[in-house]
Amino acid sequence: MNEQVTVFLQHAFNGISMGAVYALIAAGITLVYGLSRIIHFAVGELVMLGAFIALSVWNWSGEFWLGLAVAVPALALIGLVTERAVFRFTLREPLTGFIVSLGLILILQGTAVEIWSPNPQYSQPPLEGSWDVAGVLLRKQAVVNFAIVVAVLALCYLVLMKTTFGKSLRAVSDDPGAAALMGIPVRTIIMTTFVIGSALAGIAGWMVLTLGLITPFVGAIYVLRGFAVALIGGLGNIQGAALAGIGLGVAESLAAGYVGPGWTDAYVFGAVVLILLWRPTGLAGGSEGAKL
Amino acid sequence: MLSRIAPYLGVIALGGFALLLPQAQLSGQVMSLATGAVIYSIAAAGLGFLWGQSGQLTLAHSSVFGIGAYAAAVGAKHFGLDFVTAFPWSIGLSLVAGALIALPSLRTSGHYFVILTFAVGEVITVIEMRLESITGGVNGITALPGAQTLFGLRIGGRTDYYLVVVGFAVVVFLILLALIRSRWGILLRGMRENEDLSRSLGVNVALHRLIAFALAGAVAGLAGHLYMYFVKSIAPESFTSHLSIIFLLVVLLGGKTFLLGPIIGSVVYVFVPEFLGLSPVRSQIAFGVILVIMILLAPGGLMSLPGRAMARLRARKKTA
Repeated sequence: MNEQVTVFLQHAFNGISMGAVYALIAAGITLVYGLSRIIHFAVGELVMLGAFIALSVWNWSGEFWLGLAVAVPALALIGLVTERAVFRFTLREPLTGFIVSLGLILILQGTAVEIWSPNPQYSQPPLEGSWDVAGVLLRKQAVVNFAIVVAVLALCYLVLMKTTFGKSLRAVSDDPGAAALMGIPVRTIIMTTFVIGSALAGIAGWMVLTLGLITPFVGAIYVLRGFAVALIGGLGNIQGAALAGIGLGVAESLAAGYVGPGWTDAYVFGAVVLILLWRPTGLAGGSEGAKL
Repeated sequence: MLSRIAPYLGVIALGGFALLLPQAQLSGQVMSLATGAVIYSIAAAGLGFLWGQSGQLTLAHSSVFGIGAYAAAVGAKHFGLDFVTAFPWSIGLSLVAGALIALPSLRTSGHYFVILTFAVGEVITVIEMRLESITGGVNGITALPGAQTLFGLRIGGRTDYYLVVVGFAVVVFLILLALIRSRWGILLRGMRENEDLSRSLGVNVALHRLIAFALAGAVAGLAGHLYMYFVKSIAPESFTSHLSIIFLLVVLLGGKTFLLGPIIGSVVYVFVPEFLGLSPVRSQIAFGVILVIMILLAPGGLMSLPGRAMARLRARKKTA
């Protein structure tokens, strides 16, 4: 194959594996926002916690996959606790929920520094090596991660579209008042989305760990990409988040590969700004958002 | 008449008290903390004005503060500007930056705008890190000169600089107070409460919002300038969104519609961890908890608590 094509495909593949992580985070953001109208900005810190919990379990047990098995329920529990302790009191005033999440950033980040120290930490992913497909190196771990993301998002989609629970959830998203009148337990459903959204962040955290270094401060990187993806896909839209996540990952990887890696963040966030200016409610169309 | 000038006298009295503080023979460390607290209160006052009066929240405030600091630092390092001659640049650039950040608010609102300001802040941080020839990259700019003179007066040491900072704070708070009490202040609050109604009455909402943002930016830039001449070394990591959250906390602690709120907020923010001997990380956790508790239980700020307690007592008496 032409060498230039190979290089291009290599960048694209690297982008897809990173984009899958963004899609996962964005799906959680979109679910939580779709039901509670809360911009949960501490989701980056949830990803970071997922990564550190997985790392600790791995260091302790020597089993990398056990890290995933512990991180996900642990994060689901954090989601449950934060919803019960604070977010449920902020449903009337979504801006309050947003500010609460800013407070959570300080709390979760500080706690992580206390427990794990501020130094970068690294883990050896369980699957090493890569498959060579026509000159393009597919890292085994990245392929497995991608498969997990596809499976998880497909599961989310099926639950949303095919189950009674999913139907209730969509009803609450459309019109909480009418849903409540139909006997749907609105509060419980909203609580559940916080649990699911946090669990998705837990999976994403584990994946971040498989892909490189982590520090207690990586949250900001992921929250903004997560929101970028959720916005581009349209807040409240899971399929949009999946596509936009992959799209962002690929665009980022191509920009880093062909223009230079140093400015990647600037391109990504610059693009967010431009997209929001061009389509103030996201590309796929979403809700207007509460007035501040 | 007295009720009209009382608030101004209050600001001046508070400023006078702050100017007398060095007479108490406080330790150098306490004076440093006090200087930091006053600088934070100036920056937070800009955010408080924007949020409390026009109802706009931004997470790029720390970046605009940083632009003021960088303008002062680059001016000192590359252009031979000193404490006084750098002011037009630091204030001017941050004023423009503030207005630019406001531009998107004309097209997008609510959640989308807040996320957008966060993104703008991140872009500014990346620029500070990557334009190495000007900003010094990740390491920033170090070994900068201190403030030497102001209006012919020599600024000798820490105490002198504290007095200068307090002087600037008094001027800023007096200006903000006059603006809040002016017709323009009423106009902004009208826009905050009902944008459509204001527009229907012929108010140029976009223009006034832009001016409010530019003003908040200029105030933040002034504070950034004072900050740079205080710490004498700056780096991109000092101006991340983390600091914006702190400004928000400071405003919220004091109460966002209360002019002097930022002073109360920043004094609490700077001195309480020091008195309790908390490590920076522990105090970060503590302030996260305080931020959550404040927004849930006392969104009007610490100053609203006595009033609310009184109201509750009165209500209890009535029922009894």
